Amino acid sequence: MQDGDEPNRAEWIRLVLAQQQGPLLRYAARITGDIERARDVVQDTFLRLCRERPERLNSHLTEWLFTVCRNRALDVVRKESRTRTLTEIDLSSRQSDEPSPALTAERRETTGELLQAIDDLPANQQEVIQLKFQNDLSYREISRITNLSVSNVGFLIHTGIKTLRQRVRALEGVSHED
Amino acid sequence: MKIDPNDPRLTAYVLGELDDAERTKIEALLQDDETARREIETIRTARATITNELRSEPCPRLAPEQIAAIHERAASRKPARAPFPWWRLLGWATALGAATALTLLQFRPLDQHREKARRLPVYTASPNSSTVAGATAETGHLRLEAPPAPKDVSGSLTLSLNRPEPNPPAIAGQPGRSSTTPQSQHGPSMVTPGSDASGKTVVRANQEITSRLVEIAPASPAQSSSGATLTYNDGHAAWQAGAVSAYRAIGRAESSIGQPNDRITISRGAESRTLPLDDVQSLNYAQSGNESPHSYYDRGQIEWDQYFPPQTESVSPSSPSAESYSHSIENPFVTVAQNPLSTFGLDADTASYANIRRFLNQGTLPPHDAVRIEEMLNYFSYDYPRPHGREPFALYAEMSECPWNPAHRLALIGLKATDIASHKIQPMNLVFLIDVSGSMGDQNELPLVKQALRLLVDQLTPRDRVAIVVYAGDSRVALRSTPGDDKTAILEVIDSLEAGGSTNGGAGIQSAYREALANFIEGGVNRVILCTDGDFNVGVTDPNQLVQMVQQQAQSHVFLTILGVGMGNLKDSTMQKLADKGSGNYAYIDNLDEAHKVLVEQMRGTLVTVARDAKVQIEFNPTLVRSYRLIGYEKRRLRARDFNNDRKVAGDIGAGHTVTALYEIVPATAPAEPGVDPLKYQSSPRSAASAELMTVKLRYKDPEASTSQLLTAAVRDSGASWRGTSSDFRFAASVAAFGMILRDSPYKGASTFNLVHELADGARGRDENGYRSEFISLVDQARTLSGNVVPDDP
Repeated sequence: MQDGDEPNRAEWIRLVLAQQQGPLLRYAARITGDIERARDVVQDTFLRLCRERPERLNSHLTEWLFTVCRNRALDVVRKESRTRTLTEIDLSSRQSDEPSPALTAERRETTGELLQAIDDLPANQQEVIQLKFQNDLSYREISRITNLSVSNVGFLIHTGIKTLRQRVRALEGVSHED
Repeated sequence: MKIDPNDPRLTAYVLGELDDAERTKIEALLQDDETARREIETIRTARATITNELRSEPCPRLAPEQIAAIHERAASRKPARAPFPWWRLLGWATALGAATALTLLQFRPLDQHREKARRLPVYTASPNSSTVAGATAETGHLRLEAPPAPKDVSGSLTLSLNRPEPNPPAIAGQPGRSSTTPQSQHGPSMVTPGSDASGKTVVRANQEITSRLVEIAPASPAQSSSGATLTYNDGHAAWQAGAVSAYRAIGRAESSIGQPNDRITISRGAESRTLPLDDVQSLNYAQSGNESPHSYYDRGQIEWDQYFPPQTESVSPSSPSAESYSHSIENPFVTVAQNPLSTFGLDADTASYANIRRFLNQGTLPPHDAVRIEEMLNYFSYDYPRPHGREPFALYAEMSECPWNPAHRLALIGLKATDIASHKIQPMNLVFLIDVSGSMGDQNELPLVKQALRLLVDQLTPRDRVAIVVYAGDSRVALRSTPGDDKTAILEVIDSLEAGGSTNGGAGIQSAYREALANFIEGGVNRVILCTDGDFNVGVTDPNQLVQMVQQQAQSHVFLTILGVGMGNLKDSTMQKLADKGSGNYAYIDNLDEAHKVLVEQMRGTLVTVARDAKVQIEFNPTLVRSYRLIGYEKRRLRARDFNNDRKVAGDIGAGHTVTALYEIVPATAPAEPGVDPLKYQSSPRSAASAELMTVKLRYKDPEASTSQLLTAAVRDSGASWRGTSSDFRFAASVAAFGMILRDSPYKGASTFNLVHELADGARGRDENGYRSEFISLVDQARTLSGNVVPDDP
């Protein structure tokens, strides 16, 4: 029976890959600021997934993937900036870093003011907003992925939305317009 | 006590992140805190916009060689630890109660997930799970239940996919592919839920109970085929889990534990289907999202396409470009024993037919998902008896043999809405909301809209009013509300419209409603007429958000009519959704004749609503009917209990409309379906005395009323032969058969283009406007086109 498991597991990987590579790449790209580095990170993440047993990850697969992906991405960022260790706090000042031309170009076509405003947020707010709104993860899941407390996650998201509302007029409700 | 608008709990509330106690507290505070309520609304808007924006970010992919490397590793590598038959343990654990289930934690690889694992679902094996490998049960079913959870685990939920393994999902539609199911390769002992062909189930429980994610992943290798349909047979009625051309159906379960509204919703794009918890035998379609102000399961749904790589989107080779259609699975046959009630909302929209005609006239077959059979049926008018007296509807029914399956019966249920004489039409307050963006420049778009509106303006009287709002990159009021007899002024503005710029449908809609409200005619027809290709490509593009706004406006009795035009980037799904949810209607205008039909001949039907929230419920008599299938109306299916729920929004019916629904019926005398044992206990002759085949119930609201009226009729099968049927019946049958052929439906039976032609040809009736003749020529065109799929070299 165990042998029979193998092709089935490969199928599972294929499935998860098809479904999650996009979201993970977007996430990693935001951390590394570079789509190529993001691709390496996500590939690593999936190679690690190949070592896991599907049923062990079933109920928290997404969370596992994002956690591993995040750690790998932070590793890469740390290696790139050898002079200092990039901690969570450092991460929040990374906003001043220019995203790579490739990423910017990819962005420019489809997005407007709002995405720009999200890019301008402190990195920790960007990250939780991305996890919440792009990937529909709960505060608790985000908390475990980012090692922030649940209430901290809630605060960051709340503050992030507030800032975006101030900067992007379209975010103010219908009743407020004019 | 006031809430500080800076309180993060407000955001957490909107995002569904509060626990029960906190949420109740916040809701109580919101009751008398206007400022906080506005803040909540603003956060909701922001959430929708941010979600929409972030999800539309480009979704990059790994490089092909990276993907290959991962697949190679996946194929070669053994898992780190020996497999453990944990499902057996789980079976015992469940039997012993939730506390025992905690022992499983030690097998979880990551400690940090401990808490989650406790809250999260376990797989419950069937009662005889200890012999799972040898189980021979034929049935499997999806069961959602609240476990006997410890008190501190608020809102915990168990989703169990109870599916003994020897019952693989039959893969329909791609017979050549199904040979690769794991079952056929590895025998019947594959029960590993992570990759079980019969389905993987993952629940991600959020803090908020009303927001749970369920992923149902039939990890069957149907990935190679686009458009393959996974059919689960639960032993009673086959339900299709989704036309998963890739791998999985992903849905969102919305549930409040132990509440009557518990359900699972499986959604794809604008479409969702709902599985009520207490009615697990059938997978019901439902239009979700309009039950209460606090439910938002229509928003924040997973973007299906995000999980389905683009190659799965090839709905049809003939789909030329950026047109989008929401995907739908046809209603299956369901047994009366399991589902005596069939419930759906009425729909008098006709857009799909006009759109199909456009495709055929352009020389291509329409994409399957562009074919909505109910909209084809309702495109034609039928000569049903008119209602008497003050009732707005008359019901009609007819039954005979089913032309594409002689062993079955075909039942027609028709409804005729009362008409209103032209001189009795209430004064109209119309706002034309016209998309003048660059995408509308084509001859079939803005110029056609202008001609169409001229037709409408010609009929206006001095009591009517017209305003014109145009939108592109931004919106402006091109004509302030003007009396209907000032035709010069109105036509001048219409003639001056030119296309250019990008589209922001959201902002335009807001101005149009403002204009309509400012000139509201009490007791009159107040309507925004949106003319667009539906490509809201800038700004508030979240269809859910638009729908919400349109719904709000409908409460103030300003309704929406959508005139869809154009091709190439027609966003059929967006427009249909707007019209469905917004108490409106949607017509597709492919040429000036169609404009004439919609805006002149049937102007009253288009603009004057005689009934709202019209729903039909049919109860079948199990002694006469074994099973049935509602043809079409996939997007209109309702849960049985929604029939009597006046808060459940359904379709609007315009003056003089006819609405037609067809059921294919398997008589109780028909031979049993292969593979399903006869039921031992279900056929009790409790209603044997009745010769009634079914009872039709109709609920509707008068346009201004908030409570519904009920009409009921019992239907007997007089055994009418095909010869004895009306031409309306035969014509409707031919339309349905045509639709099923165009959809390549598994239920089309013996339907062929020739059969459709023959049926329709003998059922032209009076055909005053030539629509039936036109239908026949479209059938011939489709026959030619489908014959020409293989290019023939001279």
